Amino acid sequence: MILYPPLHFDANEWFFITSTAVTWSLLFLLPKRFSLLVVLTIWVFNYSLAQTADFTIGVKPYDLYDVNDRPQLEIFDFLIYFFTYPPASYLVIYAYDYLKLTKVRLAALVVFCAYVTQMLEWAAAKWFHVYKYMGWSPWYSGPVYILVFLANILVFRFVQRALAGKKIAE
Amino acid sequence: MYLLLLVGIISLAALLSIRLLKAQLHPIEILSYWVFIASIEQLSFIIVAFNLKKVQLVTNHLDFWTLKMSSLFIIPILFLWYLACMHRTGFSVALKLLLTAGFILIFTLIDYVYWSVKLLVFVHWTLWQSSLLYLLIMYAALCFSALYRLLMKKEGILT
Repeated sequence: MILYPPLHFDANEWFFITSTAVTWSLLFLLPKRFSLLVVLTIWVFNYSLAQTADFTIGVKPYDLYDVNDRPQLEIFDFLIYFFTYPPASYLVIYAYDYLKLTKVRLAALVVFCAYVTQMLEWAAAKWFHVYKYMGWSPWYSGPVYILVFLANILVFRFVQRALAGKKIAE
Repeated sequence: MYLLLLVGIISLAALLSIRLLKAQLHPIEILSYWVFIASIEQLSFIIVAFNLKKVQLVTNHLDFWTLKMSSLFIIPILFLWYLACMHRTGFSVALKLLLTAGFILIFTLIDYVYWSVKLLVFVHWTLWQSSLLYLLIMYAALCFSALYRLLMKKEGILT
């Protein structure tokens, strides 16, 4: 099968639906701040980042964790990459751009967001069985989320600079 | 080990070639197409190997990183070159079709090299299917770049 359906439609699928609905609601409630091009760039970057991480340490020879019901790629794994992960980074970038923080406060924001995401991951694994750890721990995820959010801010700054500067002819 | 080193050197050369691409593609196009193609390429490989079990997954760490570097650097940057060629207004349709065939041949040759050194173990897979898969990735990349360029035009970045 190209993409497997879930074995049982239970807690992990409902967690995905609820968390996605909450983040998307936030996304639509916030006033529009970025152009569609910026949003698309952030989206594709985060989709790729999440998928690359899972396809690197979530498969053999490392195989440190499984996402959802099966070790194989499920429809819901794909939906998580596309609908759940990118809005989290989008919200961090939104906060970064809106608050215009100093370096110290920016560092605090990134650490705080990484901590919240880590706790959500821990809850998703413990109560909703979204992740099954086989050598990974949610405590390792904290520093990873810090790097992910920093990478997002760097990419956002790069995109802003690039859009303000160079124009190209078709 | 030697293969990992060789793929590493080719990846580095591919990374350096990005400087030349800047004349054809906008920096945010390079970033977006790169991550898009890398994710589509990895997704298709995982589906073929993990879900459809048509290709055997490598369990050796060095082999894994050799394939991973190829998926993250060599293949996406080659695709960037392909897209740069496709967006060149000076190229005729016939030349673009010829280039498409040429790039598919290059991608299939890469798979052939990995297959011949046993990095890729085909179970129910052939090089023809590899070519077809790369054609599909090419199509997805062209669709994505068309959409991206449309948005760039709307924002006045592409004139």
